[in-house]
Order: sequence, then C-alpha cells, then structure tokens
Amino acid sequence: MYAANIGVSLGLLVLSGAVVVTAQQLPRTIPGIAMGPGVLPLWAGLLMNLLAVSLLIQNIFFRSPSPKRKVFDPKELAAVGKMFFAISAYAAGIEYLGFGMATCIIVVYLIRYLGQYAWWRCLLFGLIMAGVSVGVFRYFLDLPLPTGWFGL
Amino acid sequence: MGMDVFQPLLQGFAAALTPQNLCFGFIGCVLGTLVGVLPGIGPTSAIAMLLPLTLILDPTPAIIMLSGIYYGAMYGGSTTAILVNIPGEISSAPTALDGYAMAKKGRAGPALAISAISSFVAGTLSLVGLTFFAPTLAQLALHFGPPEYFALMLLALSVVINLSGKSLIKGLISAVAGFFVAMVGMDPITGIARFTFGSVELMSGIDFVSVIIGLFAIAEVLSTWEAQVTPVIRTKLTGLMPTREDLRETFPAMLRSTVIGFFLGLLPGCSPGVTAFIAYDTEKRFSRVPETFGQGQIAGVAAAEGANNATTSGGFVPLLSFGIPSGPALAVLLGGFMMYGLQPGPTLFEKNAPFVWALIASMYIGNVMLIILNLPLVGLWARLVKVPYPLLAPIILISSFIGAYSVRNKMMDVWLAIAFGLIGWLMRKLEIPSVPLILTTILAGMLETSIKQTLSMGDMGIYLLFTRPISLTICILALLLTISSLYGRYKKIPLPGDAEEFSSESFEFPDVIEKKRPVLVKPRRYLHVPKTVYLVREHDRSRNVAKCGSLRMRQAGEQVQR
Repeated sequence: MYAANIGVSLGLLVLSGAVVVTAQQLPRTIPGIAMGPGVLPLWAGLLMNLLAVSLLIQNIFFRSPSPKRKVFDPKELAAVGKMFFAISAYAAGIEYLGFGMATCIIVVYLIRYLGQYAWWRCLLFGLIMAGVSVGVFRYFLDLPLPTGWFGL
Repeated sequence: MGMDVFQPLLQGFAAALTPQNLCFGFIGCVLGTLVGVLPGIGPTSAIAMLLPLTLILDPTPAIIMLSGIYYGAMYGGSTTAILVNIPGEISSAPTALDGYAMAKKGRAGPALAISAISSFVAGTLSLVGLTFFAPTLAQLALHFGPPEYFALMLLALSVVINLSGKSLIKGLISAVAGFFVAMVGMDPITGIARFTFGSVELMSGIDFVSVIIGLFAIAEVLSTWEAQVTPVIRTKLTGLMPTREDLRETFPAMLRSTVIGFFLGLLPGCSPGVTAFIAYDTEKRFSRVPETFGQGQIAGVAAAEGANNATTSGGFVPLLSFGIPSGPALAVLLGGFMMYGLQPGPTLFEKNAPFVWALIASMYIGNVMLIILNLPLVGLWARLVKVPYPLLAPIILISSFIGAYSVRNKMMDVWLAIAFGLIGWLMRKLEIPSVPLILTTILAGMLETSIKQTLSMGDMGIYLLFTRPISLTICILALLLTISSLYGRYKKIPLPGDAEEFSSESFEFPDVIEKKRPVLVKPRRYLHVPKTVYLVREHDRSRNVAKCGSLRMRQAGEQVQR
C-alpha cells in the first residue's frame, strides 16, 4: 500500500503542478470583478500540492505498523481490465453500431463471460434486454439514442 | 407556527396524492426496497443511475421518486441482514447481529415484521420533526446574503472531514480533486474558458451526473466483478406475526431510536450507518438483559432499524433548509435538485413551496407504501437476493450509459462516465473516498460565485464574513463541526463508514463462499462480502461455516479484498 500511496502522491504532484501552471496563465484580476477566473484554480492547485507532499511524507516517514497489503493483484487487474475493455467497447459500439445492436452484443458477452450460461440463453436475454431498452427509452421516453450505421 | 405548517402540508398532500406523483412515489419505494435488498447496489448508485433519466419528468415526481429510493432502501436493507446475515445497506449491519440470530432460531418472520414496524414508526415520527424543523430553519435563513451563503458553503465543506473515511489526507485530496473537476469549463461569472484544452465539448464543463454515475455505478460494476462473491439464501421464512410481548418489548426501543436517529441525522456527516450503531448500543445499555444482545434480542433489531429510518428523514432537514447533504445519497440527491434548477436552501421554501411540501407529504405516504410493500411481500424481496450478478451487471451498465447520455445527449458524457468509473475503481483500491469529490464537484460553482459576490460587496474582503451575525454564527458552527470531527477522528469514535471493530459479538457466517471460486478463509483473515467485512475467528471446514466477530464496516472508498 505504501508504494501505491507514494505513486499516488507523485502523480498528484504532477497534476497539481500542471493545474498551478495553467492557472497562472489565467487572469487573476478583472476590472469590475473582485476575483478573476485564475484565483480558485491556483489555490486549489497549491492545496493539492500540499496534500500530495503530506501523503508522500506520511508514507515515507510515518508508516503505521499494520501488515503489508498488496493493492493490485495481477489476476484481479486482468479481470478488471477485461471488464473495462468490454465497457469501452460497448460505448464505441453505441456510436458505430447503434444503441440497440451494441446493447444486445454487450449483454450476450457479459452474461456468457460472467455467468457462463448456455449460448441460447445469453442470446435470448440479450435480445430481450436490447428490445426492452430501445422500446422504453427510444420510443416510449423519446430519448434520441444513437442509431449508428445500421439505424438500430 | 403550527397553522403555518399545516396549511401547506395539506396542500402538499393534495399534490402528492395526484395519480402521477403517487405512481412515481410508489416506483421510488419499490426501487428503493429492491436496491436495499440487493447487496451489490446501494441507494447512492441507484439515485445516480436514475437521476438523468428522470429529466423527462417534472421536478416534483422526479424528486419524489428519487427520495423514495433513498428511504425505501433503509427498509429493504434489513431483509437480507435478517435472512442471510448480509446487510443490504451499511445501516442495516447492526440489524444483522440480532436479526440473523433470531432467524436461526426460527423467528425470521417476527424479526422482519418488527424491523418494518420500527422503520415505519421511526420514519413517520421523524417526518413530523422534519415538517416542523425544516421550514423554521429555512425562514431564519431567508435573510441570507452572499456572505451567509459563503459561510454555508464552508459549513458544507466541513462535512468532508466526516466523509473522509480512514485517512483525512486522502479525503481532502478527493475533495480538492472535486474542485479540479468543477473548474473545467467556463468561469461562472466571466465566461473565460478554464482547463478545456481547446475542446469545444468541454466548454460547457464536466456534468456532475457523469461523475456520479462513473464513480458509483460503473466503479461498482468493476469492483463487484473483481470480488466475485455471490450470496446464497439458506434461512427459511416462517410466520410473520410478532407476539404481543415482542411489541411491548420493542416499542420503547422504537421511540428511543427515533429520537437518537432524528437528532443525530440533523448533524451534517452523521449517516444512518452510524446512528444505527449508536441506537443499538444505547438500547443495549438501557436493556435489563444486555447479554442477550447479539443472540437474537428483538429490541436490537427495532433500535437499529428505527434509527436508520429516523436519520434518513433527519438528513432532509439540513438538505432542504441549507442545501447541506449529510451523506453520500443526499449529496447525489442535491445534484438532482440542482439539475432541475431547484436550489435547496433558504429560498426553496419560499420560491418552490408547493414542491417542498409535496415532497414532504410524499414521504409520509411513502412510509405507508413501504410498510405495505415490506410486510406481506417480504418473501418476494428475499427471493430477489438470488438474482445472479451476471444478470444484474448488464442492467446496471445499460442504465448507467443511458443515464450519462441522456443529460445532454452527448456520447462525450458516456466516455467521461467510463473514465470516472476507472478513476472510482482506482480510488477504491487506493482507499481514497469518492464522496468528498462528489460533494465539492456539486458545491464548487456555488462556492466560487458566493466568494466573488462577497468580495464585491465592499472593501472589507473576506473579513465581511465576521462582521455579520448570521455568517459569523455559521462560520463558528463550521469551525466547531470541524474541531469536533477532528476530535472524533482522534478519539476513534466510529465515523460514517468507518466503524472498525465495533462489535465483539461472535456470530456464524453461513455458506457465502461460492464453491466454484473458493476463498481462503482462516483465522485472523478478513472475510469480504459486498459492503461488509468480517473478521474470521474460526472456519468450520466440514460445514463451510465461518465463525466471525468484530464487525467492521466497509467505508465508501474501501476496496473489497480477498
């Protein structure tokens, strides 16, 4: 956990540094307005800097005696990575294949992958889910969901 | 004062009883009970997912439905706590201590009935409190100017300390990160673009709905998939009716827990999870047989369930009067108010009086609906726990995507929700709480505007805050709350979501370990199930039963670890 916390601190130091630099390019005073748009980002950036340094110091010099714990397990990372990829693919699918088709594919994939049900069950559930979602949101609630190349 | 309240309340009932509002109130209660029952999803995620979808509705039915989800979840959370020893919500964790013990003795029915009755009594009594307290406070707050609003924002930000979980530094990091998110887009007064990196789509800023959906719903899918634990029901549900003795024994507990839950619920940062434990502990102290607590004492069930429901109503007082959310679900609900252009706070009772009273009246009606839903239909809810997660995950995902997309009809918001989903999962892994980020994302705009308006009021600058009695009082309150929260952390008083090793009772944990994916269970290891972590004392391998103790609640940002 300490290594992860140190990594977080360093990442935040870079991020807050970038915020401070960007904030300094924004006007801090504007005639007629008490506070320019650069003031709050600057203070927020500086505060984040301070907190990142505090976290860094805490994890280097003031470690608690609690047992070591692994934050990222390679197997878990792989599982989450697959899920994240599926979610991202679903979003991309919505844009190009349309909401209905992408929903059917992701539902079939997730049920098959997570639950290991028979193919026909996955396909049936996918079709039902996609049909119900499109029916309710596109036709009943008039939500302009993306239709993609196939108009689905 | 009394008549001032009764007249609008009656009008509120007239509005709440219209078919549309009644229907959406009912849907909210059903969904609330459902998310309360299902351990993998909480009211915060559910409200976050449905928030944008309610945009097609008028604000009154939409907020009535979302509020129904919040208080309905408190009812539903007890079902799984009693039947399978898995609290559907954190606030139902103490219910599991005695409720499950009763279920093992064949008294699951009376435990469920007393839990519903106590929830109803406490919920209704605390609504009476809400009816009188909220408008009185709001009337006082009508004299607020920019400095007072600025002071209120400071008071709201002091809640961050309570929402920070184990590490204050990480809580503050999350809060400042919320400012970063909120600053993307145009400056609220000058219109100058900030942190847009030349993107036209970012000019309108990052919508907090995408942030909420990402951090809660999508991160929940990622985390739960990582945990891969499926609960299984074992307990048989027998007769529902409690005996006269049960009712006599629990009635004082219901009243005491109402008072505790409601008044603690008024304090920003005091969540139902904490008050339920405090009420349970208080009841144990009041009891003539404290040794029976943890072994199936029905008063323990009544106290825990009464307190969490009373706190739910109590939390609406600071939300409606000052716009201060006392917990994660209310922070998301605050987002819902803002989405409709309703500014919770002093002016809400004046500008949107019909809406507020309809909401309050709907909560009275919702409580009646919930007791009807939870008493006769308890068997049905209990069966829902068996819904396999592989079927639930796609539903959560589809709702999240539609939710994020429907706010502005832009795929950009969906991509942002996915990005925040990954950030949310990382935050859970790194034990960084996500609720402070949500809170500051919502409050940052108001904070910045109120600072600018305060500074424009004269040459005194920020010192103007200390020259006006109301703003000075609120500043002192914020300071006191900050000090007490810091003192609480120092003294290790259980904070929201951080009730580490609170109970020393030993209880058996049944077959939650999925046989396909065996989990290593041995003494001194934590046994993790959704939302709750148990310290294993002994593992009986022949029966696959873990004897656990030292209940330790999982905090908002804490990861589930195997």
